[in-house]
Amino acid sequence: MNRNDWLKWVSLAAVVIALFLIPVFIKNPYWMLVLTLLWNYIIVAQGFRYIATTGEYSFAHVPLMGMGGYASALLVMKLGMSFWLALPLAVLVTAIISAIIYYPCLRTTGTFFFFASFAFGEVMRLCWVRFKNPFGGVGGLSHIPRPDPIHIPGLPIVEFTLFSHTSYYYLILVFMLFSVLTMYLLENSRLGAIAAAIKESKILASFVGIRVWRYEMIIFVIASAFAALGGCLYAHYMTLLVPEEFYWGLAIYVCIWAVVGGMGHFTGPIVGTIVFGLIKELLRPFPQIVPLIYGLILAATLALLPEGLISLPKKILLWNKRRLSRLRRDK
Amino acid sequence: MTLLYLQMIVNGTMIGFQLALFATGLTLVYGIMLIINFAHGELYMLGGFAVFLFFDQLRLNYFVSLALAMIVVAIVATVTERIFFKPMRGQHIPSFIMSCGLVFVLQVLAVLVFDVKDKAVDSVFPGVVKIFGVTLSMERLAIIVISTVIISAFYIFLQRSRFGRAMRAVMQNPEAAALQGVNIDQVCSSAMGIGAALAAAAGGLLAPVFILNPWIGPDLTWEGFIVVCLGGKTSLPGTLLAAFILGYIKSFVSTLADPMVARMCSAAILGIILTLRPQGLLGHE
Repeated sequence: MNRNDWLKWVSLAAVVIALFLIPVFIKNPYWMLVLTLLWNYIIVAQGFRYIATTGEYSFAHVPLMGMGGYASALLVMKLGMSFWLALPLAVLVTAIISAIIYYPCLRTTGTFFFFASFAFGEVMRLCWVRFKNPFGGVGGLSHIPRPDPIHIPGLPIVEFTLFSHTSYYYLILVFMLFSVLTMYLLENSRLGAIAAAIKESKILASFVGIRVWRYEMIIFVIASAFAALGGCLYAHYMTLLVPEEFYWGLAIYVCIWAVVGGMGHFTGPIVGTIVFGLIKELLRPFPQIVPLIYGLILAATLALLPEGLISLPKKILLWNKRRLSRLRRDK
Repeated sequence: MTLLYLQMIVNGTMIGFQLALFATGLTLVYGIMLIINFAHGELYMLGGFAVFLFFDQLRLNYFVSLALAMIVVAIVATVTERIFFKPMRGQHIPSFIMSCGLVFVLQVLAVLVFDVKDKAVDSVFPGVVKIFGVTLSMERLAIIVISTVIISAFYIFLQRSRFGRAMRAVMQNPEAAALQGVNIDQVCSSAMGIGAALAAAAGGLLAPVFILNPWIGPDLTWEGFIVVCLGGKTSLPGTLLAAFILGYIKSFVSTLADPMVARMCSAAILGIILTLRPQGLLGHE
């Protein structure tokens, strides 16, 4: 391990420790809510990027997040299951549904994959609106119970009531770190190398013996499982699910967070989600102009930094170097 | 019973013309520049608001305000094409995300100028007509007639004029067209302008029938994408055919079942056509 690697690990550890210490310093429940939701969206945005490692952009990702939420809420509310059992079951159910949705979509690529995934995601979303009986129609599901308290003998009981902001913050933080770590390991494994090959060229990948269809399916199902995890945590945190939330609006936002943050690098979606989330919070007194600022940042980033905000430090170094060389030449 | 079916047919034709006017611009922009313009619905919304401003507020003649709306929106679209879309030509996903940014910007501007409340434009052709003993709304028939005129004018321009031929040439093969001396930049800008004018015409015509607010754009854009994919992506006759198919499906299913099922049908059509017949109804591989 050289010096650079050490620096990376130490800073990573510092960030994780800082994330765990945030509730000690921030007591305001509103900011806890904002941060908790932000970490939750990072799970979803990171999953979106994980699909994009194969070169495809999926619009069904956000409806699948909703599916995770609906599955777990229904398991808890209708069948009276414990949250801790419903969570893995909901993730499993959504993974199966995602396989059904992506199966026909895999016949298309590029923009038309994007449209086809939108179409099947939208059909699923409209089912929640149309079928009032389990899904609750336009109004969605409300009064979704919070997770049951964790009781480990010898330790104090951890509760997740409506007033226990800190414990839910830690719950989502732990799941976020778990998801990000898993996706990082997957991307740097053999599966990640295969995804990169598929992104480069599907035909070339199939010529070297990669079963493109199978590996794409594996990656999409894994990413959908993370989307479902995000949706599940979201549903039980907000205790309310409305089909309208998982319409193209959120799908476009997730896409924007990931792309503006930078699709080329693993930390891109994290940076994008945090930057856009904080902009929204800082402009809270003027909610009407938030989309305007988003649009301008988006246009500026795409025009000046095609690799996303994550490439900003590198670009600044480059610009600085150019400026210095110009100054030297002028002398 | 005849009344119901005849009204469904009139409604379907009207929605078909709305989608045809709207999606022709999307097809032109996709066929010529290879960009996905998600902000096309915002041009429809601006067209509606322009008619609201000229006709309802300034009390101009309806046809004059419709023409003014088409010109204003065409200018807005040409300017945005130069600023936002010129560097994005040929890149599908970046252009889609760029146009999402444009959607936000235009929506906020519309909110700031026209406020968030729903607007209603006064009926232009009030009253009803009786055809074979069936009562039909005068307004919807007028919309059908005016749209027919606009679409025919566009097709005559495309088929007969020199510039229309240049546009069709760029759609078939940009390099070959450029070698023949076609100015690609000019064709791109005017394609965007013409498409925007058609979208604005749809917005202006339908403004007295539907309500008007700054958020009506994106939903229509998705339907426009469905029409474009169903028709065959770069085929203009296909777009026309697909618009009417979707219009009748929407009208019949909404009336006989319910609007939610109609939306499900149109989304399902998009998925099925893309996976089973990617070249669309009248497109080529």
